[in-house]
Amino acid sequence: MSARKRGPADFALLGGPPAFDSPLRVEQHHLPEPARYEAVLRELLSGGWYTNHGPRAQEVEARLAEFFGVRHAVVVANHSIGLVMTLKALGCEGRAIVPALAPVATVQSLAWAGLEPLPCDVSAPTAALTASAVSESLGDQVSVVVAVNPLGGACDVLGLEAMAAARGAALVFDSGEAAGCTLAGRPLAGFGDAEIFSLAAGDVLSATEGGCVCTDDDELAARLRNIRSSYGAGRVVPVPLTSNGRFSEAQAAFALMSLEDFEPNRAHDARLHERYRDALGAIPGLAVRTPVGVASSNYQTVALEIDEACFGMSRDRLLAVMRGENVLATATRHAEARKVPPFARRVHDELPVAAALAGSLVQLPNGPQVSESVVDQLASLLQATHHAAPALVGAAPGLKSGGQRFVSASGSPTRRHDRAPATGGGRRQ
Amino acid sequence: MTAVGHAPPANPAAELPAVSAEVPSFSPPISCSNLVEPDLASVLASFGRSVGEGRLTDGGPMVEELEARLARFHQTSACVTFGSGFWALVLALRALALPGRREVVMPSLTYRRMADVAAWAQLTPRFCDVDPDTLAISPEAAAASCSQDTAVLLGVHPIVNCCPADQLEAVAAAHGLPLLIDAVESCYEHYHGRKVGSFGDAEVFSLHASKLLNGCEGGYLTTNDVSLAARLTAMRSGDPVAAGSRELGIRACLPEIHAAIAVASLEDLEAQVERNRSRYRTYQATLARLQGLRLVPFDEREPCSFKNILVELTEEWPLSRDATVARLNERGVLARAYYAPALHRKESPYRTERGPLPVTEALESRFLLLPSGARVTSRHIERLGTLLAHLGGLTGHVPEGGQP
Repeated sequence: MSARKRGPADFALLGGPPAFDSPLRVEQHHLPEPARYEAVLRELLSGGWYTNHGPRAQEVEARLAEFFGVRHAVVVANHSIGLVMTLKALGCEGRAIVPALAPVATVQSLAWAGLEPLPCDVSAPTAALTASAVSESLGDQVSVVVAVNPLGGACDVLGLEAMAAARGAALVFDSGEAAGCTLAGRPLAGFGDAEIFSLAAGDVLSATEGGCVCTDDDELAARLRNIRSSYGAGRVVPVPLTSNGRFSEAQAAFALMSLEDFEPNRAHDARLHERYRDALGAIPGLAVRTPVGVASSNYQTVALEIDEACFGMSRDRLLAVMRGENVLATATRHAEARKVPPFARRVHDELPVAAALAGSLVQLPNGPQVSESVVDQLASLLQATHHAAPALVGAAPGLKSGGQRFVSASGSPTRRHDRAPATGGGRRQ
Repeated sequence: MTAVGHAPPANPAAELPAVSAEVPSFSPPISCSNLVEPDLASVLASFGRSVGEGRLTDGGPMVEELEARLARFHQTSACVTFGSGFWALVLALRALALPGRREVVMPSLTYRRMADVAAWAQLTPRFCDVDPDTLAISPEAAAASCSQDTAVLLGVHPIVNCCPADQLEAVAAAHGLPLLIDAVESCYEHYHGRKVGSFGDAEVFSLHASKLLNGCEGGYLTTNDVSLAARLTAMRSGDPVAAGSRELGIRACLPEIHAAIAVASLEDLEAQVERNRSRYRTYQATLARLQGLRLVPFDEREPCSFKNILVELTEEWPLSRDATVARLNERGVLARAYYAPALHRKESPYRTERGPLPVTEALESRFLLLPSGARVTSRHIERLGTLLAHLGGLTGHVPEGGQP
């Protein structure tokens, strides 16, 4: 990394050298040592079983069920397909309550399942649904609540469970960021009708790509397995249609290694999460969100909240500045649900907490490529950015890929609610 | 449905009746699944690149490499990889379907999940008949099924040889329809001098381990329509909004490990086709000695993969197709019924429509696939000939060179 930024001219946006020599990406990439995965691949490639619910997929389902403390862990091609499969398996129709701040993929999953979204605002500390927010909307035609457990924390899980049960609605949790979190003395995995986890490259529990649907409901699990594929279907039950959601032996092999390494990987992420909180806490207008609503977090997501007025620039401008410095931070995955196609032309009111959060959250890099030293360098960079903000905000767009989209010509610090694009590969959904 | 992709089972002999000396059985079983073994060094080198770049899914160096190589291989402007051929088909149907129209014209005698593919794309399948000579969708039948409510025409290259893709292009053009072709069994083939992959608006292929190109799982689409390719790339990411798209997408990207394995398979492709040709020749010789079985021949006037062994049971064959498959399966020969049941026979909770299907119904109980692919040897084929001779009631007839 080059020397600290002494003034605006040192910033890449204004022609200076980037702070980091090679791109620093958001994703985790907790990978086993090459010697270890090479040995696993050698055995896999010569063994003749590559997919179709082979021995590794069967083993990883057993181990994941144990890890998550649930009766059934159904591994699937990826998190989005898992979520859509779950909604189809539940046979939900009509409307689905979703948080007004949700991943694009989560909102779009409703379209695949033929559901109409009914966004409810989130609570500011959790960025997630509460039972009270949902209560008014749980009227007729709502067959399911699709809640998100975001940013390493959780929504009002127990309140929503009680509410959904009382009102006869299904309850599904998008727990794509929550593998390994705990709540009420057990893993955050067996709540509601089902929870869907992500096993993508950016997750602390990773198959490099994949998903896992957890449920204690035997019938639901049987339908999920029959929707997934005829291979590994187990007991044959009628299903509305199949989804080709298979999980390969290669994915299973990486998932097994990741399960073995979970504790040290989580500990690493937790340590750096705390370092980020300490290092960035003193910078005006920046705050690393503390995971809320869980007994313990997996700490895989370092979510930074930008207060534009105090910090001196918008979230999107900050991302552009950081991209120039080779820090490929991104907006967090969460967008305003009401704006997600194909629903964007429906009339939905702006929900204020979601709108504010949608425009102010940044995901910072975590994982093995990040050390205490990298955190400190990032803190220093952000501090310098704050000081140089007036000059940086007024700068003309000069960046490749994506910089154009978010620069306002006048440089005026108007708040923007649109999400910044994902940059780099491997943004998990 | 018989399983494919078996590793050697623990104790297969325990499941079989006592084996007669004249009647072969196969342990481990032989299947119709290709399961070609990818080269480890190639996979490790490729995956190492992905690790080095810190991109393991949703785009990465091996997906980029694979897409570039496949576009060149199929001689198209673009190739877009996907997590599976299934979701490639779904997203392509969604992208191509004419707005406001609800039907997709497709054959009934095809991949057992094809109607589900249409349902995910919120299209109603309208089944049309096949041609008895090609076993593929009949252009005349397809044309007769097209209407003002047709959103897209979905052709399929059958398991052996190709559908008449140029005639389908003409039908699509005459009706102002997009044409999507499922080419999962025809990635090596040429048709009328053109490589499969370049027909219609787009063609879709599979990288499932049972197919010619093994990626463990995966699929890809080839097209000369670069804007279609760009739309699909946004749709498969799981966050099309981030890519500037207003279309409905679903995460359906190909992870780097699968791309790395597929690239290794692509490197081995010519050698694989040679080995397939040799197996096919052995089948030709072996089955020629049997009555009641007709090997569906590859059209060798153009490059083909020689991968799949498709057999028709004729009047002289004493058993039904399904009984034949069951008897073979009992002996560790994992033969499969060909596209059975036909899609129009299946009950589904979603609506389907059909035109007249006399050829489909005449053919649907006559064809089966015999074991093929990388794990089948000429010795297997010769012994299978003996077993088939026994099943065909020609117990005393021992094929030349084939001992029990």
